[in-house]
Amino acid sequence: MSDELSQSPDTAGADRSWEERNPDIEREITIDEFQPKGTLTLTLIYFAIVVLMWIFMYFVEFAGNAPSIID
Amino acid sequence: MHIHKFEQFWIKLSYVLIAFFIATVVYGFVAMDLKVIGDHATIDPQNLQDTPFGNPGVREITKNGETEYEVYVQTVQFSFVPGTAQPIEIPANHRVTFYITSPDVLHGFDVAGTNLNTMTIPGQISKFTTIFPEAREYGIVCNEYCGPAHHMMEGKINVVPESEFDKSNLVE
Repeated sequence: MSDELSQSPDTAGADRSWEERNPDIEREITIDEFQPKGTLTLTLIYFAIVVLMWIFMYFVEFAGNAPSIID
Repeated sequence: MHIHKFEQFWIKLSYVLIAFFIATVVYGFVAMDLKVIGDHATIDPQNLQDTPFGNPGVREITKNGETEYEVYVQTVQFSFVPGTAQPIEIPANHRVTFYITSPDVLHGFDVAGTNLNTMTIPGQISKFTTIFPEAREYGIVCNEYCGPAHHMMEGKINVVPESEFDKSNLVE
């Protein structure tokens, strides 16, 4: 393995900025223009899973597990 | 500090989740009338013989014109009295109130596979009421470490149809 490949690009030129080390970057965007829709979708899927699992655990597995304490 | 709007969104979402969890628990205890064991009474663990625990077992009582049952149980190292040597026999579809205490150390009284579960604490009476909806056998296990044979400490509740309930085993 060549020395160039074994080094990570971040340590190779620590004195230069990330943009300088990556001159083929075409466009810079502001933070609000960055829209990680995939991450948002995953978050919503995880959220739905947690909500459904909670409903199942609490209302079906726990509250539906008769006999229960009634007094 | 500037926070990205997506990040703001899922921070808010996590607060919504916490509020939802609390709301379901409140709903359970208010609207669905779920119950947990609370304080009932204290007792002198050295002098159980002068109390109903001195003659533990199933008693029949009449309350508000209905036949109900009271079950007094002692949890000792390493058995349920009654429960281990002979099963606790009770009829289905009647209110049953358990009174459980321990003369020696901390034990658990867990009716396996149900929501009936309590600690039994020397000096405290654990009380709960339930209705067994079907005739079947339930296992009781001790779920608080109580000594070297803790893992052997188990018992049985035998829920029988009302027509087959043998009242000769009731205690006075």
